[in-house]
Amino acid sequence: MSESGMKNISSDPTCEEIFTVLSEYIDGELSKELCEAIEAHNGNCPPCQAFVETYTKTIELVRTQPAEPLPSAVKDELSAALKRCQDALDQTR
Amino acid sequence: MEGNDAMLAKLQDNELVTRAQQGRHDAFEELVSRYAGRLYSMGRRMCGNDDDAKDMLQETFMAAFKGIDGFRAEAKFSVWLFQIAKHACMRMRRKSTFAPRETLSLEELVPNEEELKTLSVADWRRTPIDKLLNKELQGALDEAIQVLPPDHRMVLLLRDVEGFSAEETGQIVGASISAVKSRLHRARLFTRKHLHHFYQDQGSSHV
Repeated sequence: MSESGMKNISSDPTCEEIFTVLSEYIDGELSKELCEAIEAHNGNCPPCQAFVETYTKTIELVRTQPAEPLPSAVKDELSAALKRCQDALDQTR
Repeated sequence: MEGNDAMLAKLQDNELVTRAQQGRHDAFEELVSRYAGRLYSMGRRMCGNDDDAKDMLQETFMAAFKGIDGFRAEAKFSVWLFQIAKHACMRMRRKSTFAPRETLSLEELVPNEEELKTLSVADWRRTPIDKLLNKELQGALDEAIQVLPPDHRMVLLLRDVEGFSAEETGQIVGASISAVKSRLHRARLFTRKHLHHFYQDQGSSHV
């Protein structure tokens, strides 16, 4: 698959075809018919079902990355840098 | 009576931008407090170290401060800000000696017939995400993200961590929507493959 376009899949998709559109499937970007075709395939194909489960779990893990607080030293340095910027701008006004 | 900070905290980004364009430094500071943590986290993952992330953060906000008058109200402030951050990240990367992967081929990321035979639905799928995300898995996840090619890593972070749409992500990284989708898919496949053994271990430990 090139960067220029996602591959189309048939109404009775193969395992390989499903792998190429998983991202769009998870993001809800495929038609209802294609989603149903993928789910029908997965119902009879435990490896694909497992692959979709691990792929989905991976996305969940990435999405639930804990937010790191901004270290106070970084915050202080940023504030000082912006203050210098603001003062320089105010002097020119 | 409501304090100034509390009042500013209730405003939408673009309302704060309008005030900042009128010379209200406190409005810009509210925007900084909204986005500094998110940008620093992304910077750490993109630059690979705390010092470059700190420099990227300062460079981004100083550029945003100087350029705020040129911001157009029809644009989305967060997209504009992350565009600036993306350019700052690229400059930091050129100075870095860290060498992530350059490309991702689909062939190496999708399972071959041999791997397909070993795949089964493991019990971990029913495990809540907060129970699953232990220190070992977090380390493996951080490592996977870190070794992604930079253009794929940026797309993964913008889409799946920051929650930007494919269109907004395309605007930030300067790529078409189809290119964004392709990079996102490969980045997710790569990350899944990197965690594959963990999933298998989790499954077998429940058997």
